[in-house]
Amino acid sequence: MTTVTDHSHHGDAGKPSVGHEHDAHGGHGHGDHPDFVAHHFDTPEQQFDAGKLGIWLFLVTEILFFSGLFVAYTIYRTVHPEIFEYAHQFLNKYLGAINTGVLLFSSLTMAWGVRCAQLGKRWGLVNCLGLTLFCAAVFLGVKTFEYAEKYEKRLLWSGSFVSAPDLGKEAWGGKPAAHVLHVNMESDHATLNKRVEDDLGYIMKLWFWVLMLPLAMMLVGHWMNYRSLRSTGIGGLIAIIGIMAGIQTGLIIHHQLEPHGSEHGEVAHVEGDAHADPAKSGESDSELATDKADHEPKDAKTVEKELVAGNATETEIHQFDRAEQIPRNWSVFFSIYYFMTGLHAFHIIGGMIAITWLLVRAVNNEFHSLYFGPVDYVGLYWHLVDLIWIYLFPLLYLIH
Amino acid sequence: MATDISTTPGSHTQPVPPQTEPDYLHVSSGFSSWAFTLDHKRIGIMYLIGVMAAFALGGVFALILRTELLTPGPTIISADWYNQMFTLHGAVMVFLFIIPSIPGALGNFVVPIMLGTKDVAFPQMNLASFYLWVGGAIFFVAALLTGGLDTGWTFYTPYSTTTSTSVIAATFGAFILGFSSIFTGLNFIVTVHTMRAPGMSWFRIPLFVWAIYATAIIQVLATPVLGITLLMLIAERALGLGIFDPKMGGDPVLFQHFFWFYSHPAVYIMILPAMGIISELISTYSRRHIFGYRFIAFSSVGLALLGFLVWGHHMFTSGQSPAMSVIFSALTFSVAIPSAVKVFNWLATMYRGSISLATPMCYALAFLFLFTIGGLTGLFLGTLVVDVPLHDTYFVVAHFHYVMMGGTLIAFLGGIFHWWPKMTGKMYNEFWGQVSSVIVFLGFNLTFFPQFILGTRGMPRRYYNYVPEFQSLHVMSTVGAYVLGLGLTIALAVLIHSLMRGKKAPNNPWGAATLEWQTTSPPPLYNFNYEPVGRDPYALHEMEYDASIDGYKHNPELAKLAPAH
Amino acid sequence: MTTTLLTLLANDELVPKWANWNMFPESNSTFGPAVDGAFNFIMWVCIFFFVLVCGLMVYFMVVYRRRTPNDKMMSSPTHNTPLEIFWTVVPSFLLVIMFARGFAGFVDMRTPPADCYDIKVIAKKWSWTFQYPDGTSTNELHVPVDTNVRLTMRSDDVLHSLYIPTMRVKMDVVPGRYTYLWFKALKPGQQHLFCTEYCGREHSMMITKCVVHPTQPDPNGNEDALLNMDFPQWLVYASDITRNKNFMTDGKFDPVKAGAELYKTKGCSACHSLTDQRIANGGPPWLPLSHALKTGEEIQLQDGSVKADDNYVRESILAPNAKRRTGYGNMPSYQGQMKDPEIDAIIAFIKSLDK
Repeated sequence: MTTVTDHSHHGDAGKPSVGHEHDAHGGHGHGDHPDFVAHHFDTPEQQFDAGKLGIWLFLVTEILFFSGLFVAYTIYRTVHPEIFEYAHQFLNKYLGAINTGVLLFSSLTMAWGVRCAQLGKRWGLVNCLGLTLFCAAVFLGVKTFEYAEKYEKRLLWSGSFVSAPDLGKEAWGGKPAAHVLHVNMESDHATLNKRVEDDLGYIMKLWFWVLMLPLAMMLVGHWMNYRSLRSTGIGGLIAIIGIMAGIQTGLIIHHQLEPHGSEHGEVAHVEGDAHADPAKSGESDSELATDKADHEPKDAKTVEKELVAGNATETEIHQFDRAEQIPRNWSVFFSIYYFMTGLHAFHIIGGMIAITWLLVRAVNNEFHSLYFGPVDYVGLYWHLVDLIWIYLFPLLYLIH
Repeated sequence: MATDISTTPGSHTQPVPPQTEPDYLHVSSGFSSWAFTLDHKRIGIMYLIGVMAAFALGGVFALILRTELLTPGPTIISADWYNQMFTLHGAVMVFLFIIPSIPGALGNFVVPIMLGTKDVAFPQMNLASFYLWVGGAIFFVAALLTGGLDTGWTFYTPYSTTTSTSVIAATFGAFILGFSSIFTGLNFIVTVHTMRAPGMSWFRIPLFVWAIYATAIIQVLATPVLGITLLMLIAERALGLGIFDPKMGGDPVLFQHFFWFYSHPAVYIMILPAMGIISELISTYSRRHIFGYRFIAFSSVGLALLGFLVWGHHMFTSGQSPAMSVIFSALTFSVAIPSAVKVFNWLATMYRGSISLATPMCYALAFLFLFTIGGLTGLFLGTLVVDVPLHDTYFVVAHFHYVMMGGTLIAFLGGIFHWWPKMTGKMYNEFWGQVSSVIVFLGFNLTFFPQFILGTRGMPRRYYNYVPEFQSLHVMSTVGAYVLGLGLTIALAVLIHSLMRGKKAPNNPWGAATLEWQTTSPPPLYNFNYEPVGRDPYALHEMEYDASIDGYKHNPELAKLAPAH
Repeated sequence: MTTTLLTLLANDELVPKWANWNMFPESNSTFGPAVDGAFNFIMWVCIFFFVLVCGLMVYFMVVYRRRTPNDKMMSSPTHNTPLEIFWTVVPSFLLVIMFARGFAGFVDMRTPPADCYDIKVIAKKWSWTFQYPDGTSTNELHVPVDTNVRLTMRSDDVLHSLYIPTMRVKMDVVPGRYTYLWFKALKPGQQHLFCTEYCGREHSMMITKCVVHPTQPDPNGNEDALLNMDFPQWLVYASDITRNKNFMTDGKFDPVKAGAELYKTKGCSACHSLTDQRIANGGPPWLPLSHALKTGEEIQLQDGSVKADDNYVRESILAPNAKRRTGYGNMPSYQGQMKDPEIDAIIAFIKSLDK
């Protein structure tokens, strides 16, 4: 075995130098090669620089990944601005704004956590990471509400979008397409909220069961005096409690906001009568043009618009239907909305997993002033995810 | 082995003690020692086996295609099968073979040693990259077994969103392979930046590493766009996204823009590493310092960056606006320059050299010939008015096979023969190696040269059936394909034979000056049993042949006798 | 001086015959000279560089071959900046010429003249339909010689691409938009027309012909009588749907088949459904009409009623607003746009709906 000690091309002669053993990859811990420096690095600085460059490159790939979507968005919006102007009203900009604030705050707690790691403040770091997780969960909780609400209204991506002519055909498990039906009807509204909350309640129940795992780990670790198991349990517990609190907060936010914030009512003024009896809607179309036109001009027109909008794929391409307001293919807005926010939410979840991993390691006291790279890297990633939302929010919610 | 090293260039003064530790192949054994290895050399070997298997699969598809094209109309398979075959031939060759081949196999093995480091910056990520490749391959095979794939490797919408074959499995496979590629590229960039040995300044990096570095830039910058494009395509199929669907107000041509925004730079992912290998081979086997090191290094990076600006030249007849076509045509010509510069530099390197026609050099010379044709025929396609009749004909097929196969594959073979003794510690049969290169060269030209004529005469690509006047050229091409197949089989046989019967390789059989030839063959687990120091990687005049070991040794005395610069 | 040089390089008139290495099939359109000239120019640039590179390569291989493993190294430079700049810059000029030639010809290709004969092209899996201004449609492209022809193309399904090698033209046919193409044929005769954008199983069966008709009928010109007709003559011939191969069943004219096609191409499908469901704001659906024709029942008009028969349908096509049905709006007249055999075919098609 060869050991070479005079090796200081990184300019810091006092730093640990190479002293690896050749036992595969586990050759740490020899002499002055610290535990936290992987075998193939010479110094902690080299390891940190490599990690830092690596995460920045990764962020570049992430930016390019999303930029593809932003380009698609831009092109589609340039060609069909009317779709965006019309359909964005179905998004709740208050919920979006709250989520923006929540994510911004989580970026602060994350940055604070990095500082704590650099200073070696173990519990400061744990608190910051827990808070970040909490914020992420609030974000996802609110997002879940938004998704669930749209799901209940069948405001889905184009492939599953329920267009007006399909109304009453019971294509969707017997439920009528609520986005045309429900508006301004208090009873429907209440049912809708109930359904959404049921969905969320179910998710909470799942999380409650997940909670058992770290709890058990902590107890077993404590009982057997097995330190890393115990700290893993504690970390996991903090993480999940943070997440559950976050989801709960998301629910509360929705409760506080929903009665005042929703704009849907002002958008599609479709009274229930045209659709009150779904079975009739099939024949109503032929009469509408002639009979009802005189009595209820506005409603009939709107309904007709819906009908044409859903049916229009077979006819020539033009921007608006003969009837003005509802643009053709407005479901594509929701396609884009789900794709972009869904991919972003997926990144949030990825970040939460990474933060949980950090949390466990932080409880285990693995970070200190010489080794805080992972916290730094995840922090950078988290800021990027935050940044992407900062773009998504105005592009989807705040269109004028 | 103990006597192999008496002096090493890294430590001019102190001789290294005799080596007793086992090399990387023998340091541990068993399935898991390979499956969970973090050693870049073993990962490189696994990649090598993987990409060669993928190449064999794609090659069989190619032979089936060529056989089918012996006659107009049906010959051996149905039109549906033919469409699946050419799609899978393209998809397997591009995504599973060419893109990962040189960076994944040779790059993984050689780059860290060339830089004088113990491993790449992120060994776990390196292994993950390999397993992502495996995962992608599994999805491709799954697509093959569950309905096949008949979209062409380009997945153009709206055909790909409406056909009944397994487009989602295949595109998801390509999506995963994209991440494999990103991980490889990211690893190499970080390795080159932060892991160089002492004294290994930027301009002492071997040109192969420069090429891999330039490639890695493209992998990191372009592949994510492919990823999102394929995700959108999957969503288009599965959810009816609408962005590419003309019925939903979307634009199918937008998909082409997205696709080529990645896939044109991807062409440079494929060819740049090959150029890097050629720089090493020409210099080593001419025993001459590479000519114009900086021009070659910068032309690699230049190509990588320019490659991002020219994707629209795949779409001159797609319905994009004429103004865009004009701009893309102008930009396209700018790419010709760096490629030409490299060719001239390689020629100048041979000038007044001592040219050995060892197998790797035979492949390198074949590369020079074929790549020149491939590159020059690109000029026809970049010229707007000439591209209009040539687009989507066999001319294009011939052009990219001359570049991708005549270029990348030939260079890859040259690289394998060059580094084989280092990877395995075994020499191969030189004569049969040379024979393989000659047969491959002849077979290649017989296969693809007629296709230039076919294309100019008007033969469209992806045709199962064709008008009878094209038959004689098709027959030539098919015969050529079999000759080519024979040549490649001989090459494989030579390599397998060397594993079983090859004589032990010296540390430096070729007299190369890069660091990987200064360590043992095969290298130890951590690559060097001395502390390597970066120096001029092309100081070939300092290498001295020693008949007792049938290899070269570094002789510091010769450094003083450097040829005039 | 530079200008002279450029003219020489760009002027194909000065190229001697032996130096014409263009490999295209003989040109039959006004684009020929631009395309072939540029091709030949690039060809010679390529030959020059290919011979230079490979010649030097072979020369070096021989002259500097390795004699012993330790050949004495000859002195030679490792770089030479002026030389490298030279071979970077000089080829650039050639590239500029190539670009310029490609650009000039391309602009011409993409700018149809004002006086074009317009033909509509509909591509679908896996056939071409060419529609002429008088409503005739065929599966082979027929054009008059010496006339600017513009193709306005659309696709019913996936991407296709129309390619006529002898005309040197190619353009993708994209669903959801129109693409254009124009050319001017120089000589009568027939040539291949290919689909060059992969479109599925029968992609390679989308081969058809582009027939160029002479200005004067030429009875002795060709064995194929069709090719000898001048274009107007051919158009009269082709507009007779009873001779259209697409509408044949077992070699005989099949009016139902023809009617089904006309239903789509004449635009009936925009307003009339083939079921009993009315298209929104459309005209009467055809299935009930078919039933009515069979049973001869009365049809309710806005003023009175009429017996459903062939004459009623014929009148509804030629003078739709003479008898208007209750609950329906106006329909444009097809007077002069549909010939009798076509109306017959439509009626036969309607009748065939109620089975």
